[in-house]
Amino acid sequence: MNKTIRAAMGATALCALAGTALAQDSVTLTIATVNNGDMIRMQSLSDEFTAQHPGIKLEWVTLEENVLRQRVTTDVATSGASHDAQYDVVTVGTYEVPIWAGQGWLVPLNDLPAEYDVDDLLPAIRNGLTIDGELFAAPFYGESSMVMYRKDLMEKAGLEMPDAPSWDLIKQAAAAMTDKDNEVYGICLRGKAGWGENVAFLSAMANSYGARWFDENWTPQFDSEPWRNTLTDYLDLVTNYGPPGAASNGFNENLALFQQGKCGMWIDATVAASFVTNPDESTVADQVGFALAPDNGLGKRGNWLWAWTLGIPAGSQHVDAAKQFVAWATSKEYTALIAENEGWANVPPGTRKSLYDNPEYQKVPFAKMTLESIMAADPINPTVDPVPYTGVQFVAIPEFQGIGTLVGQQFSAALAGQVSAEQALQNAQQLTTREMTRAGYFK
Amino acid sequence: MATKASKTAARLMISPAVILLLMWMIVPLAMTVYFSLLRYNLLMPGMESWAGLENYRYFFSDPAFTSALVNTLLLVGGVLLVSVTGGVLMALLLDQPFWGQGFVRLLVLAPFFVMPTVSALVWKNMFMNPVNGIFAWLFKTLGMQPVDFLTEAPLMSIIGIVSWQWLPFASLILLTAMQSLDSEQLEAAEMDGAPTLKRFWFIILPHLSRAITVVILIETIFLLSVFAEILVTTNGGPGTATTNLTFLVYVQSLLQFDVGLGSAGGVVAIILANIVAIFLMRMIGKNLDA
Repeated sequence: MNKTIRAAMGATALCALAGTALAQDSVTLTIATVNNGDMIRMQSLSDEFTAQHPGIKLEWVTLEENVLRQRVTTDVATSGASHDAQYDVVTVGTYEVPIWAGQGWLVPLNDLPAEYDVDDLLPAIRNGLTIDGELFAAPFYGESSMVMYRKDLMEKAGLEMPDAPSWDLIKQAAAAMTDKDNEVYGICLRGKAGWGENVAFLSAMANSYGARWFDENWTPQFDSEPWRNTLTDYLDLVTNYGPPGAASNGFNENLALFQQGKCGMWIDATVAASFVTNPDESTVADQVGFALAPDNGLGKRGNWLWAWTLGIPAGSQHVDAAKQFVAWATSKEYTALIAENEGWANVPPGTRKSLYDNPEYQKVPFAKMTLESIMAADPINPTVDPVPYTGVQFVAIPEFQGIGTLVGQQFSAALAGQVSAEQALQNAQQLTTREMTRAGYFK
Repeated sequence: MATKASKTAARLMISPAVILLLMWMIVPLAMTVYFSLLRYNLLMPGMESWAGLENYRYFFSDPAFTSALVNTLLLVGGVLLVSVTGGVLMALLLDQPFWGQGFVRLLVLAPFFVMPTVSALVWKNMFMNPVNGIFAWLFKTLGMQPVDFLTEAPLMSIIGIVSWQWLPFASLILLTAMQSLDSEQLEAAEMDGAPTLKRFWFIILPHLSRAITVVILIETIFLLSVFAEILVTTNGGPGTATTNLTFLVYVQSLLQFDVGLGSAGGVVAIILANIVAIFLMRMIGKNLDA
């Protein structure tokens, strides 16, 4: 063996040793998150976190909502509590948290530092993430849904939008604002099939019509009068006053239409408020008004409740570092950081009381209505009649993703004119009964 | 000439590769078959139990199954029809000498290099969107109502998008075949007074038959599993209007997280694909023997 080779081998060995030493010092967290504006902003601020925590490196996996759900669920479900999970921090919704926590897939977050101030979290959001008194995920942002409308078009139509409108007023306003020749559509609503798309909107709307997914014996209720009224009114609204192609419009498509000034009203997530009032993105930024989601005087409004939260899979190898990150990303300090860099309107909303007590934040035009909408949603008693499930726009059982997808397809088929409302409901009833029977809910 | 010993040696040497390849195919396939016989939902860990053929019974009785089957066949048939006839016409056109031929050929080939998701997104948002799309603008300029393609003719739209991607492939193969045709044969026919259409029908087309067979076989394999275009544009809907077998299996295994049912669907899809393949090989694969 000549000298050069020996020297090279020695150098390699040294490098390898140095490598292991370095690896022991620093921890790399793999974070799976959803590709919406707030999360991408968090990613761009990761340097702030790593500067404070020199031993922790962050690696981001940013995915579209559906893909994120598939990747994260398969990872967590197949690794379980064994120490081989791919992700150390996962972004999960309020639907998943109770189910996952029940399976033992998430690490409880009871020992977050005192300055995190758990008691500051909004009760409606915190309750959905707490199981048997233990917090299983930290909310990054929370949302409800509300009416966003064009003040100028309402004025032109000679109407006034109250803070708490009824469905009748919405119908009247939609008809008055529609001007198809100029491509102004009275109302834009979700039509794209999916349990997180049209089913979210329609379940929330159905709640205000007195409909429910299941009765107390888990019998599906799509053959009931309230569901018939919900779907008929929805189809009337969208086909008569909505934009063409509504059957494939989801959140993003409607957002684009509203920002272009093509929607008179849009009932959707409260987080959209910061996008439609941002003059860089929206042509109607100075004309947007906000109101609570409509009701029918039955005691429930047609708004939902959702939060994207950060949780730590039980299979993570870096639980302590992951906790530090989760605490940072959902802290008051992080909120202040965003406010300083991007302005108060861009702060992740809907999770902390202190944010809504802040006089600076109260100046944001949609702050009040967002908080009121969140407060108006009750996941424990979401419907007029009693139900055996929790969740406002979803049913918190593992089977719901599948059933919601199938039912959403039926509703979007009805909107596309392929089947009648009556037929769609009948199919939804059959499909839901079939899935629930298979899952063993009835004998 | 190979001796008995050298043959044995060759077999021995090639066997690791063959065994590896076989394992690579057999292991996942066997696992799919095994999972298809279990009640196995990802969201309910520890509840796996033997289910026998229940998943299959459930899959076949799924209301979406028949439409998925029909849609799969329509999609394959439709795209084949468009890409083969279009490919022949395109090849005829590109075979003519004209200025800038090389550049035009490159342009015609371009769609093949675009990723399916990207092309589907472009078609959905730039062309077919009933409010902001180019087609809608064209219709409005001509004083007509814009057509909402993905709602009114969803399957046709998907066939259109997929055909756009596969037409270049067919054109390229057919053009190459056309160029291998001896021009003297055509000249002789022309001198004998055969009109253009007859020259095409009796000389060019028979010459292309092998290439057409290759195109049909290769495209069928890929078209049976079209997925990205559907996911991006219509999500299988409205209703189940654009759900094909692949998409149905996706819905069951990744939206419902029902691994058992999804695997059963996968096994059914493999069997059906094989039936189609055998049928194709018998009917048109004979061309390849000649």
